[in-house]
Amino acid sequence: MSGAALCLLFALFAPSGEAAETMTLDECYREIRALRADINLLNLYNGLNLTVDQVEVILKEARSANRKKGKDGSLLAKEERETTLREKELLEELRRHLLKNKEVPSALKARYDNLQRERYQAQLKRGAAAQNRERLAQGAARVEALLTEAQLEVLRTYKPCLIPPRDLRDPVRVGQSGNDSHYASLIERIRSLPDFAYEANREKIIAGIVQAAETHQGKMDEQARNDYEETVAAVLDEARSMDDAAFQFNKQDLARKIESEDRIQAIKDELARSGLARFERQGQIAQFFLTPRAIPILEKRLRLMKAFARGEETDLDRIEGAENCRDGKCSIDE
Amino acid sequence: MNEPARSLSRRELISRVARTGLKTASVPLALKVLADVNAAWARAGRQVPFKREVDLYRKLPRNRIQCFVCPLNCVLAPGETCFCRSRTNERGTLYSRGWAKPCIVSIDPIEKLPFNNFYPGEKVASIAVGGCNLRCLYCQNWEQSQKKPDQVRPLIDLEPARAVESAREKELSTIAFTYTEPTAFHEYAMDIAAEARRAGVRVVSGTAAFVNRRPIREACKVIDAFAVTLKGFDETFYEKVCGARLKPVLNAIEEIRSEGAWLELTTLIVPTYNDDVAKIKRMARWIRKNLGSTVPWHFARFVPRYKLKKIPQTPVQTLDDARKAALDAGIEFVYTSNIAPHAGNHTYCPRCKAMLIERVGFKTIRNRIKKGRCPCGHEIPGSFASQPRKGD
Repeated sequence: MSGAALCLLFALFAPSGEAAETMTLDECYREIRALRADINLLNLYNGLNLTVDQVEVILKEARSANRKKGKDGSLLAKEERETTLREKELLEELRRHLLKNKEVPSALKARYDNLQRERYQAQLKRGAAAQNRERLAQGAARVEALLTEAQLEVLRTYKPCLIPPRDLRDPVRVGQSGNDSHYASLIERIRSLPDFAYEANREKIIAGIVQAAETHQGKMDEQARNDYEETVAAVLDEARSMDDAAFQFNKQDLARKIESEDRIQAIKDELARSGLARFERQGQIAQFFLTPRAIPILEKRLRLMKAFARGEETDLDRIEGAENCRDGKCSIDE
Repeated sequence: MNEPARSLSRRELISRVARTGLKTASVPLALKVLADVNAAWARAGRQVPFKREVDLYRKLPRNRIQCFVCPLNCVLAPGETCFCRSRTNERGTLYSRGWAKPCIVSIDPIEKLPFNNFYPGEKVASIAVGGCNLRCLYCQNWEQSQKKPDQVRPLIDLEPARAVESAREKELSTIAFTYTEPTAFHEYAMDIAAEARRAGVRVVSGTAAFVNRRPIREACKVIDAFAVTLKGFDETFYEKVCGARLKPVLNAIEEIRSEGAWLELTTLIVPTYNDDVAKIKRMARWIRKNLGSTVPWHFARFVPRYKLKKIPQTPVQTLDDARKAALDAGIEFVYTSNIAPHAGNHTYCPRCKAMLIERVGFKTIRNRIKKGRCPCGHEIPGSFASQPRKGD
C-alpha cells in the first residue's frame, strides 16, 4: 500500500477526526513512519512468542540503554546542533552545484570530509561513541543470551513488514490447508484461463510478472530481464500443458523457478557465512529491542500478559451446538 | 369419443405382446450399451468415473440402505446422502461420490499432520476430498470439509494408481490423507493405500477416528501411521462442539494401537471449551493406561475459525499448562503445535532430557537421533529415516 493511501486511511480512521483534519501532510507522514515502526516491532514480538520473564529482562535492558543514551545526548546537544546546521549548509551548497550540473569543487568535498571527521573526533574525545557502542553491544549480548535458538532463528529471518508472512504471525497450522506461495497461486490462476484468453494476453501477463518482480526486488538489466521473461513464459506454458494431477504435484517447483531472488536475504546469508553473523545479530537486537520505541510497546505487552487470567469454562449446554445426527436422522438431502 | 371395442385375433395379440416386451427390454439394454460406451470413452479419454460403490453397507427393503463406515450408520432412502455428504444412495446402491476427485493435492512436511516421531523432516504428498462426518465448530478446513465432494473446487482427476505414480515421480516416499476427514473418502483412501503398499510407498492418515471398528481395522492393514485428533474427553464436548461421539473415537484409537500402526494424538485446545487442566490430566491418564506412555501427544493452539470466531487464540500459558500436565502424568513425548518458536516444538529424550530434534514449527533445525536412538543410548519410539518401515 502506498504512503499516500496509508495517509488517507489514517486520516479517515484516526480516533479524533479534528486532530486528523488539522494535521499537515508532513505530520501525517511522520505519524505513518512511527506507526510503521511500531507495527514492524509488534510483528516481530508476536512472532517470537516471548515469555513474561523475557519481556521483563528485555524491557529492563531497553530502559537502561536509552537512559544512558539520553544522558550523553544532553551533553552532546549543543555541539551536535552546530555541526548539524553546518552540514545542512554544506549539503545545500552541494545541491546547488549539482543542479547546475557542475563539477563538485574539491574544496567542498574537503569541507564535508572535515566536518565528518570533526564530528567523529569530538565523539571519540568524549568517548561517547565507543561507550555507546559498547553499552549497546553489552545490552544486545544480554538479550541474545536470553533468547532461545529458535527465537534467534526467527529473528535472523525476520523482515520488517506490515502484514507478516504466514509462518511468523500466523504459522501454517497443523492439518490446515492452503499454504501455496504467492507465485504458485498466481500460476494456478493463469493456468485456469481459457486458451483464447491466455493467448490474447500472454505477453501482458508475462510483462506484469516481470514488472512486479522489479518493483519488489529492484530493476534488472536488459539481459537479466530477457532471461527472466523467458523463464516466466516457459513456466506458464509448462503449467498449462500439464494435467491437473501433475500440476498440483509440481506447482511449488514451478513457482520456485520464477520467484525472484531475495537480494536482501542473500546479503544476510553472505554475512552469516563470512563470520559476521554475531555482529549482524547484535545489530538486529539493538535495532529491535533496545530502541526507545520498544519500551512503551513492551510495557503494554507485559501488562497484558500479566493481566491474563484463564477464562471461565463455557457451559456447553448453553451454546448453539454443532449440527448433530440424532434419532437416526443422519441423512441429508441437500 | 371412444373407439368401438374390437376383439384381437390371436396373431395380433402375440405380435403386440412381443413388441411391448421388446420395447421394455430394450430400454435397460440401451442404457447398458450407453453406459459401456461411456465407460469405454471415459477410459480412452483418461476421464475418471466420479463415484465408486461403497463396500461397507447393507441393502434394506424398498431400495433403502444402511452405511457402516462410521458410527452414525446412516440409513438412507434413495436419493439421500450420508451425514458426511460423501455417500449417496442411488436406487438402492451406495456410492462414494468423491472417489478419485480430490480437491487438495499438495506437498507438505509430515510434521503438518502432525507427526513428530514418524520420519521427521520428510515431505508427504497430501490428498484431501471434500466432506466430513463431523461438524466441528472450529473446523480449520471448513471450506472443503463442510461441502459435498463435487461442490469443492478445484476438482482434480487423480486415480489411485496415478496418485502413487505422481508421488514416486516427485520422490516422495509417503502419501498422506489429511485436511478433510479420510473416513468420508474411505473407499478412495483404501484404494490408494492398497496401490501404494504394492509400490512400496508409505501411507499416513490424519483423522478424527470417528469410524467403525471394521473399516479402521482394514485401514490398519495398509496405512502405516495415524495422526488422530482426540478433540476432548467428554461426550458433551464431542456432541455439542463436534457433532460426534467420544466412545467410538476411543474404540478406534485403541484399535489402531492394537493393530500396531504408528499413532500420534492431537488435541486442539480451545479456550474455555476444553482447556480445563483437570480434564487434560484425565485424558493423560487414559492415554497412559490404554495406549502407553510412548504415544506422542500434540497440543495445538486454537485460532478463531468457522463458527468459533469470537473465541480468542489459545494463550501460550494455557498450552504450557496442558503440556506440563501431560508430562507430569507420564506421557513421554508432548508437543506444542501451531505456535513457533516454542520449547514444545522439539523432541526430547525421555531418559536424559536432551533435546533430540530441534524445530521451529514444522522446520527441523537439528536432528540428533541416530539409528532411532538418543546419543545417551535410549531408544526413541517411532520411525526415523534410517529405520526400516513397518511391513518392509
